[in-house]
Amino acid sequence: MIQIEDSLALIALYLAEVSTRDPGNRLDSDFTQRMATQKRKAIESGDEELAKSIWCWQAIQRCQNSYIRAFHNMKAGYFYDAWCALEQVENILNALELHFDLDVQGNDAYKLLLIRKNTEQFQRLFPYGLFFSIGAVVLEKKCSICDQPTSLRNPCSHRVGQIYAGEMCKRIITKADLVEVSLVDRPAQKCTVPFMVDDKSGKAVDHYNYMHIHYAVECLQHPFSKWELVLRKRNRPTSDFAHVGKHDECPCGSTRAFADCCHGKQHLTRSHMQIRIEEAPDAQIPAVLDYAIVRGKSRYPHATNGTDIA
Amino acid sequence: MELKNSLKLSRSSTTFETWLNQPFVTDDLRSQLEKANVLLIPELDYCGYAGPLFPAVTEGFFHFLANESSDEIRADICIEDHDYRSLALHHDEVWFATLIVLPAMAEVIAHYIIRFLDEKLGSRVTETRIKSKVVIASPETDESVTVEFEGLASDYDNCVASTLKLVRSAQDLKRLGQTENMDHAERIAHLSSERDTRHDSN
Repeated sequence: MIQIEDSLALIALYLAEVSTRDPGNRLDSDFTQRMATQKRKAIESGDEELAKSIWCWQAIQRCQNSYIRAFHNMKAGYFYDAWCALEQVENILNALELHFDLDVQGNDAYKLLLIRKNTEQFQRLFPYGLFFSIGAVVLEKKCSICDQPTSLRNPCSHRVGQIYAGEMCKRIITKADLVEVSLVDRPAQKCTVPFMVDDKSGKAVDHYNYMHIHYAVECLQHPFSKWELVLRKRNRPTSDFAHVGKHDECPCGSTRAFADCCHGKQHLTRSHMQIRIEEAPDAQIPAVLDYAIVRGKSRYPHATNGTDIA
Repeated sequence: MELKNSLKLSRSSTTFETWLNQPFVTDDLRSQLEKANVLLIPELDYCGYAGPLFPAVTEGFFHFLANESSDEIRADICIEDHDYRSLALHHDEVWFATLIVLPAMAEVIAHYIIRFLDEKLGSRVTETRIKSKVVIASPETDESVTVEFEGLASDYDNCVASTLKLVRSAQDLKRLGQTENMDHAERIAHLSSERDTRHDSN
């Protein structure tokens, strides 16, 4: 067995100090490089156990960095990029938890549980509801570890999801027929968000309303701020929505026309999101983000759907 | 939108023989499949695709059964190796190939489905939806019952395994067929009471 050059305590310290991490800076790149070198040495010496541990540490670093990038992308208004980074976080955590106790030392030392919780909460605030999904018939595939074509009755010894030589075993599709493309609400690949295309330029146009995620991320000072998302239903006097036209979408969020839905009723029931944060947000941020209040104002210009947020 | 679990139970005419006599099953393969007490079978005519297709998870589950299951399970797959085609759908759902099992294997196979899901999904077992169809077929009586489940992976135990574990013989299978129109609680009560009666008389 080879000795790892960095002590385990130093590795643990680096991964634990994620709150001050700057992904891609010299320190971070150095850690990436050192892990790659040490994994190569572990593989050369046949130390599978160490190579697997290094795979876990690399996954933790990637997960933390993707999460930090997602947060900064949301802050900067690059919401689709953030969405894709959050998907990476989710995928890494799903793979990692099969080999590593996410709640290491029982105190969430690497903030993986916090990252998972915040990621799920952020994802719920995104406006995406439908995704593309392809159906393909797989004609040939091979093992990512030994590069051999897969066989049903005489398979190679590598099992999908297990770690060999410091890498996770996957199946690589080498030949497939496309059968269909569908729109689904629970995609395996969340990055497959449909966008409109501008007729003139032919470029994708982001037509989504990011009001909720925009508001939430404005309230948070730091990627590792603790916060809770509470979803409720709440009654509102219909008179609050006097400015909504009869043919506009009903403020209750049903997607039906106001006239065919809640118009004329005394109250209507709307989704209500409450964000509970530990740190006081910027004083300029409104405590209540209300469709009836903010519509048309520049801070949230696309505030048009049926949810209040506070 | 929260989707509910769906459990459908129906009498069926599918048997092991039905699949051993498919045109894509060669004589050699047939003689091999005749030894199986659990058979993974393909979808036919999926979206107009000519030829048998298996859901993506089939290969992994087949190897899981081969590596992890006890000797009592003799699982095989109703296709030649070189004809195996899988269907990759990018919908986040674990779709199992239809399983034909002998009554004595119903409880055992449910146990391995649960273990496979735990190993594959980890904590996602509480949020991932699955689709499974188990046909319990008795060669003695030519009777078979199909148990179809679509729902949360973590609910498979309560919704399906609890029923399958009460089926161990052709006699149990016959009684299961009688519960086609019952709800889950009635079905469990019916099957349990019949078993208690038999145990008492034994």
